[in-house]
Amino acid sequence: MEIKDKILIAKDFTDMPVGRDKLEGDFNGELFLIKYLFPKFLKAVNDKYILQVDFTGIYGYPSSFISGSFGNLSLYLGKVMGQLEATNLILKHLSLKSDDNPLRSTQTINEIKNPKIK
Amino acid sequence: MNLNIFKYWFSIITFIIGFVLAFLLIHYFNVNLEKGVLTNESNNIIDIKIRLGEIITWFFWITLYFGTPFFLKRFVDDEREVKKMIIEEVNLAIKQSDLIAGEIYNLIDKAIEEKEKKSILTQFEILERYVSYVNEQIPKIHKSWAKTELENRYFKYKDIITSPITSPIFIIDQQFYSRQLVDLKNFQQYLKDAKITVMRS
Repeated sequence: MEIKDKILIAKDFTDMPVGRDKLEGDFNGELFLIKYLFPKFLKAVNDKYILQVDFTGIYGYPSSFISGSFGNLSLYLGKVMGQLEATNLILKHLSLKSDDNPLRSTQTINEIKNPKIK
Repeated sequence: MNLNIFKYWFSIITFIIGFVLAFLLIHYFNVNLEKGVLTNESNNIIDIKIRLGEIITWFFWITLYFGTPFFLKRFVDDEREVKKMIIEEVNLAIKQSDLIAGEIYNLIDKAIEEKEKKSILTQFEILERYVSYVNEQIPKIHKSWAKTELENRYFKYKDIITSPITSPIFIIDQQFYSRQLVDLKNFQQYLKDAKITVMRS
């Protein structure tokens, strides 16, 4: 499978994401999930390609943003198809990139594998 | 001695030795590869039969004699520099996490303003880059370094602060402060272990 679509968070969304949902700020994880991540991810699964999410250029992000977006994607799909299958499907169709800080990708993968229920 | 000056003189000496050897071989002797002997201009075999292999062996040992200390010194210097840089980054990470702890302490029992939240997130971004650098570099000098352990301790510390702090109703109380302090100390302890690991490698 090849990368056919990309989300550059700093350019497409914001360079300073805030919390989990709209109560915690405008550029929150839930909004990112609904507006960008979920529709593009569904299309990637449907058309069998990889969606690349690029974290490069964002400056300061809370764990709650990762939890509200990637964690919730994993949780919602987990409820539908089982957590292990959901995790595998997400990691199959999602490629994470972070040139300036590789830990962002690691944290996101951890969250997809073990989404926290908040 | 400065490494660059040493390199400079080493290159010059090697060049002169090479030049003299080549000059002697070309202008004084005729090298007869088929017979494996040296002859003079009249094609008479010189009484002392020096085989070409012996010259090459001598040249090899001379190069090894002068070259080995040079390359060893360079290798040791390079590794020392890398270690110094990693230890520097570890110290910066500890300092940065102390800075965050200070900011958190100043917010106890206060309503957290937007700019204060952003400041903490920015401080974490800086800390994360130090941690990321340390975690990427240590395995290069210490193969059995457990990358995930430092990551997990860092994520746990980051999570306990940045997960609730974005909530508008969250207030840092003494209990929260003490709880995050435990995760901070666990994280800092591993950074100190990293420092010792680097120093001993």
